[in-house]
Amino acid sequence: MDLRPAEVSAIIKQEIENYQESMKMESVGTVLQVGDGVARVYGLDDCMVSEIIEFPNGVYGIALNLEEDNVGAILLGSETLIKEGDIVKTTGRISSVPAGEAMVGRVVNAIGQPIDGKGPINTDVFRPIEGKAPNVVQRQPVKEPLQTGLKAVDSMIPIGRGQRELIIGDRQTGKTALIVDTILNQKETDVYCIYVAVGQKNSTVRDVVKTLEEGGAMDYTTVVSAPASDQASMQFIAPFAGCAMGEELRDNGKHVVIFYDDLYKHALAWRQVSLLLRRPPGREAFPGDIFNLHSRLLERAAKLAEDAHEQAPEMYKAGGGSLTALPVVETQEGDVSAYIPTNVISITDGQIYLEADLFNAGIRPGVNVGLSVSRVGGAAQTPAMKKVAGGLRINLAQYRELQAFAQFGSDLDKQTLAQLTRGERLVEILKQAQYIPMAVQDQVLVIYAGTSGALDEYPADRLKTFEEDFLRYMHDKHSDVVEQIRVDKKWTEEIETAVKGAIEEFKKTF
Amino acid sequence: MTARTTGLRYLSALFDICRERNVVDEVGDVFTSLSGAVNESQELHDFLLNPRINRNEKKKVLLNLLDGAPSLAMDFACLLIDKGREGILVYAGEEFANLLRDSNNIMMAKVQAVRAFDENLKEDLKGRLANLTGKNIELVEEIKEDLLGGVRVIFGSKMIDASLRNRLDKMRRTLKGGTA
Repeated sequence: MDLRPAEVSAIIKQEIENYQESMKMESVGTVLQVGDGVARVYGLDDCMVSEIIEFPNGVYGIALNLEEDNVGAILLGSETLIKEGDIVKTTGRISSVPAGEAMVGRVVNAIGQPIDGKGPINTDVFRPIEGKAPNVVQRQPVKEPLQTGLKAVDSMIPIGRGQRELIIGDRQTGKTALIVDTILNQKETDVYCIYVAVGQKNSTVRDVVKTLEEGGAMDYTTVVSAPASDQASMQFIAPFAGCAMGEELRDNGKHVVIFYDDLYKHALAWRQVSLLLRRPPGREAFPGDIFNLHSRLLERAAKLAEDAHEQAPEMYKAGGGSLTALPVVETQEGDVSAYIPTNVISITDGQIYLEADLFNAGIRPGVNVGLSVSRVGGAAQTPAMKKVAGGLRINLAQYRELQAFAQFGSDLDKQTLAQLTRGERLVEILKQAQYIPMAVQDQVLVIYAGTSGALDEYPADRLKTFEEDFLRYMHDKHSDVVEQIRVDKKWTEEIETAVKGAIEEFKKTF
Repeated sequence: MTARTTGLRYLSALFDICRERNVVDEVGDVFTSLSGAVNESQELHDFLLNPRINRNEKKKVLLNLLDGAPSLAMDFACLLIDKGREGILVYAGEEFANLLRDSNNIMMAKVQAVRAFDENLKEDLKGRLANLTGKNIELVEEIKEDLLGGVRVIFGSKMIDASLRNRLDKMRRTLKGGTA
């Protein structure tokens, strides 16, 4: 766009001349105290909870504490611009963020302002960050799968659209990597992605955005960033802002998946704000409402009923949409029985438990299959995967039990040896490199190869090559079978026979 | 809790008694001048608020100061000393006057402008505010150069800001694209 100087000042002149403003009576107060991201205001008699209040110099705040003779508010801007005695006004609005299709592809901060340098966001849809979760009648059971593209997850801990699945593990166990792979896997689907980074390092967020850009994922992803350098108030708001953006798409019949990375930092930010507002501390100094903080956030993830828009037309524009939530909680030293992890585990519909030991032993993704669970389970799996991966969990569980005997090698009976061999092969095929999420039909083929025993004869270190070559073979020579699995999503006897035969053929040339 | 919350409780109790005994104005005057004295004289201020000085000494000084005042005022001041709440004397006059105005349905309104108002304008403003709030208005003027023009009226916890400064600020924000 070439800017013509006359045109620009003409527009501004027009805006000034047409400038409409009305004088109105505003409710005001004076700042008593300001500091640490929190301000106390005297006056503001008719202020309401969660109302936005306006400080001088363009700083806004959210009123959270309505006390006998003063209002406690968290600041959404720099406190250096405010001083004691400044006049504060109410705005009559609740904290809202811009939402809608215009947010897709952008990187924004916790209040919806763009930080990617790609210009302003043109949207006239604003949505309050706190919202009512759909009630029982407005929902329907989760029935469609959300494919992460990771064999270990999609086979044994399947996630459905509208579910909440917690990703929990120590630092550096691959939590964010799991998220990035899931986002990359939504490329050919109708699922929008929202990645909320709370309390992360700026460099980490930059890396994630770069990876998504390179993978072409930014076309359907929004990133909401409240890094560790942001104030606690922004870190506290960011997940709610992201959720509001997701809800806007959900209520229009779209499918969205939102990642909160991570909720432990979110809890810390809320603790900081609550203590500064002088709210009584509870266990581990967290405020009494720390559970509600996460439960009300996660309850907004839902699968809407097809007729939700008829039931409540003022809330939903279309039915059938879904918002899937994948929160992350970082544990310390593997302690999942700490306060925040247990809270979030009890809220979500399952967890994916990533262990440092597995990760360091080379099993990546380091998913502990025994401790991980998806309470939605098979209802959210394609029938093909459900059939093929049915025995996978049990096989792996038995393998784990027998692993202690693996040292005795030759002293074991044939059956035990067979079990060990099978288990080893299965563990090997569930390993996956970063940034190459796998389509569900490919996953089905690989897992079938494993569970049917076709891989037992090969040494474990050849299996990666086997997998790559086998898939290439299937796509070249039997693409019709692959296509059938992809489209029908079923695992019939004839498909099984066809695949079995294909494996036999391939093995001859391997 | 602001610093004045406790004081307001004491003062509203005093106010109720004054109303019952019909000595509101006299007692009000006493505290206005006493608070004035405390605020003006650093010595008196420090003497009364010093926690190490004996209570009886303080009461003796006050007896002298309040010579001729209604006994209720003296009793209240002594009660404050006994309870260790001498600090209330600093703002007792101001807050008592506020309570008096409230009970008489008078509201104080502050008018800020770049230059002084003439009488007609003041009466007009008073009338309009009276209509708006349903109370009698007591107007206090203040000259504030940084408003650039126009007027700002603050009454109770409400404000009507028709100053040039405010309109320019709003315009700047709208043209630049506001947030939140």
